[in-house]
Amino acid sequence: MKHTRSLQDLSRRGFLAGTGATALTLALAACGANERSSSSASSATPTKGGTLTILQSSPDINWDPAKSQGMAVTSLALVHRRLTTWRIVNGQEATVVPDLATDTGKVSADGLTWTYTLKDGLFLENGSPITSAQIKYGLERTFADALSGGLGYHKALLADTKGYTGPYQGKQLASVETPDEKTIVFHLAKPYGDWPWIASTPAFAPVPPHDNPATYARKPVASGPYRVADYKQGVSSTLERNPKWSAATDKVRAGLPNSVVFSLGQDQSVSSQRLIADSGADKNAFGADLVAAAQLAQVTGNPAAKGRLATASAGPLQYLAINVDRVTDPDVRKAIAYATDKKAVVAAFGGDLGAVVATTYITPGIPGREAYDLYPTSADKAKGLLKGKKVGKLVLLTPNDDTSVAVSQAIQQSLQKVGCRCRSTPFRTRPGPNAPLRATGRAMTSPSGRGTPTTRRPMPICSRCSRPARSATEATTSPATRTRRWTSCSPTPPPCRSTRRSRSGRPSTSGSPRTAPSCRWCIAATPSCTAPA
Amino acid sequence: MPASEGIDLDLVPGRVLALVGESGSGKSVTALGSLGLLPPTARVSGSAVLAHGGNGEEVELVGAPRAVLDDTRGRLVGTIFQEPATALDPLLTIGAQITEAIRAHRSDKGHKRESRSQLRGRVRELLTRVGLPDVERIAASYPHQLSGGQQQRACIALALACDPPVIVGDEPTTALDVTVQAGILELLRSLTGDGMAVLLITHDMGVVADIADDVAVMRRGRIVERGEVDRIFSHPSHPYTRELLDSVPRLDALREAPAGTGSDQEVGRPNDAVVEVTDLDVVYKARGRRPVHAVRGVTLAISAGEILGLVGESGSGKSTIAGTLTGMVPVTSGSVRVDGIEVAGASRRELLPVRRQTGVVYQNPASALNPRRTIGASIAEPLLLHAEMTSAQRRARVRELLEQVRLPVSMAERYPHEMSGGQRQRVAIARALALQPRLVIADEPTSALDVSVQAVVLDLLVSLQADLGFACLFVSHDLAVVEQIAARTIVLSQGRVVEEGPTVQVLANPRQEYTRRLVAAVPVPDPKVQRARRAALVG
Amino acid sequence: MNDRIRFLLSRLLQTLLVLILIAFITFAVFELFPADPAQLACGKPCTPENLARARAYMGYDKPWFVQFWNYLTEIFVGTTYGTGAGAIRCSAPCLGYSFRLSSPVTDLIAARIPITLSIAVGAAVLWMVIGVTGGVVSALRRGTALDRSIMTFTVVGVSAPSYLVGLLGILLLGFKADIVPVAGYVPLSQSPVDWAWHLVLPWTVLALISAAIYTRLVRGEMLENLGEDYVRTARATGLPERRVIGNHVLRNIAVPVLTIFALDFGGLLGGAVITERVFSIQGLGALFLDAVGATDIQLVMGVTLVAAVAVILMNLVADILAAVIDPRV
Repeated sequence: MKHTRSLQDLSRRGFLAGTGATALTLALAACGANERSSSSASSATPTKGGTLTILQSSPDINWDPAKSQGMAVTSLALVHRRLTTWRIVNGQEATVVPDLATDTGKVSADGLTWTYTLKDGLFLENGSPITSAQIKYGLERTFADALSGGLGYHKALLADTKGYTGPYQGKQLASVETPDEKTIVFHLAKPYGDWPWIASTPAFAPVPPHDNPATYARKPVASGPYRVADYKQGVSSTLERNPKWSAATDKVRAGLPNSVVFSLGQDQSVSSQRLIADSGADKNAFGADLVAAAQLAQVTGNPAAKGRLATASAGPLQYLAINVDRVTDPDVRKAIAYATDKKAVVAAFGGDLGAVVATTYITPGIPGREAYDLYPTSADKAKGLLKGKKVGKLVLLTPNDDTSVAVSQAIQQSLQKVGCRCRSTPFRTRPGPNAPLRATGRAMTSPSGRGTPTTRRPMPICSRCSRPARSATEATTSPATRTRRWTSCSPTPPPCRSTRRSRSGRPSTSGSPRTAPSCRWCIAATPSCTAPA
Repeated sequence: MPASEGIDLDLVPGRVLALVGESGSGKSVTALGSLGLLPPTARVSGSAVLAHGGNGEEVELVGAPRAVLDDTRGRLVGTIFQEPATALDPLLTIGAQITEAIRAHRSDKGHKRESRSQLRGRVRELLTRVGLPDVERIAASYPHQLSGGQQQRACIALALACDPPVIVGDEPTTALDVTVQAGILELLRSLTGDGMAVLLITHDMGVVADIADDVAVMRRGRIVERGEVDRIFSHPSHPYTRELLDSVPRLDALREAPAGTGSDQEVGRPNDAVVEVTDLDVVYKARGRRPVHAVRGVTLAISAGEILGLVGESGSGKSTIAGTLTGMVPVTSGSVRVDGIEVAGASRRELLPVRRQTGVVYQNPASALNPRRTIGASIAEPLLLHAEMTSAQRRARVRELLEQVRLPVSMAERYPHEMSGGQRQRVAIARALALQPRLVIADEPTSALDVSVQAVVLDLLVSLQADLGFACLFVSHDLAVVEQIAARTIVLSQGRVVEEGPTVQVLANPRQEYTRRLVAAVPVPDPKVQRARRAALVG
Repeated sequence: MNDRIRFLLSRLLQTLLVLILIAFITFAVFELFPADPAQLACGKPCTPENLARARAYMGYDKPWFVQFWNYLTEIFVGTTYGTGAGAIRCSAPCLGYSFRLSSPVTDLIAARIPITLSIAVGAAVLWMVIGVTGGVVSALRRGTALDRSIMTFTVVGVSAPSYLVGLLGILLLGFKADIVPVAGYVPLSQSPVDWAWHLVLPWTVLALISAAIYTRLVRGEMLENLGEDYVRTARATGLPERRVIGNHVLRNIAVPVLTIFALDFGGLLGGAVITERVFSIQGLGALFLDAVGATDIQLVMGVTLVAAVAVILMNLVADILAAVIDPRV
């Protein structure tokens, strides 16, 4: 679940802007607030009562769990409980713990069946008890067209979900069974050891049947410590205590404030300033966004504010991806690694508070990580490796926001110091299907110096396995639309399992084309296969 | 330099005092300055005392605070201005404006607030007094819906709103047609019958002769002569007054002196027609408005060496006809031949030879000359465009032309703003003659000039025509001027030819009623004659 | 009467054509923009099938002219997404449906209109008062120190960038002096005092630039009119100066000033984007900005059309006012 971006070896502390909230936020908290991440200096012990205000720049919150891409511990977790959840303790690894379920799930011997039992004494905000049927319904509705858009890892992992379009036409999902009110059984398509983590996604929140998908986002039925009392689009959303939630059944959430107010659409600089000023109602507020880089300096200079700055240790990784099909010489790649001035890049991120140099792909906090540093910054080593080699003009693709552009400039300058010509090309941060892949960035380099991402047709990418697709066939489904289906995506197209051979021993070229089995990685099948000659 | 100095005037109730002078003499400045109506850049000093204050006191106007001026203006002194079209607020109805004027002085006089119907009655009364028909409609109309004459009458009604004892008219009829002028003058005259004193500022001696009782002549900011009107006209003592009176063209001059300049002219060689207009129709079509028939079925011809006078009031179509001759105004139907070439519907290229043979002199010399060019360059422009001459040849020709129009040759380097109006008009004539045209069109060339300057320019035109022998179309609304220089005259009314023939005959013995009315309306600069004429009209 | 009716009808037809053209251009911009709005509804991970399903559900799989036509007709008749119990109905007038926000665009816009209206009306009133007063005073006291200082103020007002002024205002008046609240919007129905107090700074920021422009405009018009004949006549009638100015001159400058005002105000009704951003007020401008950033095509189209309607309407109002005030028109 880590997102990778196209930048140099670094790990970034804090919050990655974009889809959904990560567990760990870089935020500015005020005293007395109930903090989700423990701050470095909290003076008071949290007490029950009061109103917590959260300032966020996003103008909307969608309370519908089916559409949420949030993690187990972010905003929706206050309202919707899942089968499991995460326990976060600063300085330790995150662990998955049971939430509505009694344990993190019992798995069958073949790994295909997971069984959960719900705790006793669980009630929805309307007083009805939480049943497994509700969780099943919550999962089923995520398949509806109207509610697509949330985290859908379960959609591919559950068995026999193909073609299922949700419960609103009256159909049910066979692979989720509810033998009784407290038991829920999942049948998976293949063994998946991390299923308990999947069970913490918002889709696993209980939803009473016969809901109206158009309006559920405004007034969901809460299972967590808070219920949605008010929603003013673009202005604020207020959560009030859910009287039916019992703290005894919830080991992770404290539910201390009486109400939580989300202030939506706040300007980032102004919120940061408000929290620094810490006056009036802002005393019980914290910001849900990253502190703006401009204010970071202000915060570090102000000791009172610095004490309320929450920083996270582990975070997503961002690295500079080199296109190995273009930069084929490993020495050149090593030279690039040596040449890049990692300190300059960290500075472009905003200094120590913004990022830390990552020397490994695995970030701290992941079990089994080993620390090593293979390529410390050394311009001399880089020059040595490049001696005698002809490297053309390098093209660096970078997302088109301020920080990324600054980082790319730092990289550009480092490479220029060792004599590599490098040009940076920004692209939109939300590319469409024909643009270079959003998840994996690449520095496309061309020894001849030609080629820009906008004039070349990008290679098609299999969205499942993120590898380049070798070929694509155009399946004309109707005259009006032509859908391009990415077909084979392993480096070589898979051979046909069977071919008809004529008596002469030569394969029959006439006859109906066979359907080759699906590519190991992609879902789509090749309509025609290449028969061996 | 002071615009006017040391003026003292006496206004007697029931009498009209005419303040006469040419442009720049300071007459308007004097009157408006004493009322404080000049722009803020003017400095007024001295004293202007109105000896008919509310309680019989004397009111000092110069330097008086705004409140005193406001009290005086309107209540004691009503003012009528030259341009009635712009003198009224275009966004308010006539009735509203008059009502406002009435209210301006009533409320603070101790009178109880007048009711709306009383005010309406008063408005109606005023509009009837100034001779406007259909007062209800006029009171509800906006200024742009009225004709020039009606607008001026409405302005007079505005000035009379509070029954002031003094009326000041600053060239009230200069912008109006001659028949309309007669009516306004009659109205002003009748005001004296109500016991008002009228100060009339004008440059038109005919107007003075018509209605003035006393005359004060101003020149360069000072009064050079004053006296009763009869004496001034018959025995002017100051040489300037004499000069002024001499240069005024008189409409009845021909009748007294049959051997005048007009009849000396040959009637023209009919077979050498430079201009032949047959059945001309010009219709102006504006989007959303009804089409305007500016010219209807006009037929005329001008021979070489002849001056044709074209007279008519505003809107009669004379300028339109002049425009068609140059091809500037599109012809709807009919034929216009200039020098044998059909102008109607001709393309630009076809018109080129016509334009080469035509020179035009317009009304306003200030705007007819490019202010950024020396007059030498302006005169040489037609030479540049049409003739193949070297610059030396052009310069020589410019010198020649300047001599012909009796201007010093050194003027060629001057700019228009450095010259007087008369000099500018002579430059325009020189430019018109640059290509030795066969046809000269003069569209009201002297209307914007002072009377003395006018005489010079007309004289010049006549002598040039005698020398060079071009055909001339002389358009004017001033009958006296036309009488002076044109051999033949055509009278136009609303786009149609009303009467045509030798000037002497048309103006001395008009056959048509319209022409008769037109001639009768022109005031003769002789008070006795004018009184007789007035009596004849009334009687 | 016939003329009036014909005039109104022709204006109506003109308006419709302009709106269709605007919708088309907006639509074309997004069609050419290689971003796929169905990505938003696709979820994570986004398989090609899910993407195709999302596109079909949202109607983006149809050719562009069909989509455009559907959008236009849906404005009048509404549309339904999906079938069965989970169907989402967008009833007429349906300016589109925002899948991101799970709400018909019409509702979103309607919720924000009072906010934008509050900002626009308040700022408009403020700048007209300041502009007209400043212009009149400046024209009447032409050449004096007062005139010169007012003109200097206008230069400052025109050059100062609104976001800078806004942020400075927040910093100085909000944080340092703590006079005005620094962000947010309070509905009028909730508390008129709070509503006004929260909007004082946004009004001032918006009015600053416009007031400068209008001061210059009014001053120029005043000076031109003060030299006109009818003013001289009015004075000659004995009217006191304030009546001359108030009843005559102001009436004559009303038409050009109101015409420009109508257009400015119409533009403001589409949302003052920068001001709303700076003050964290969620009006139409902020909605629009978010929609563009998130490639929410339907929302962008809806807001664009509403803003266009506002401008056209104000244009019409300006023309009608001109005809009412000036009988020559």
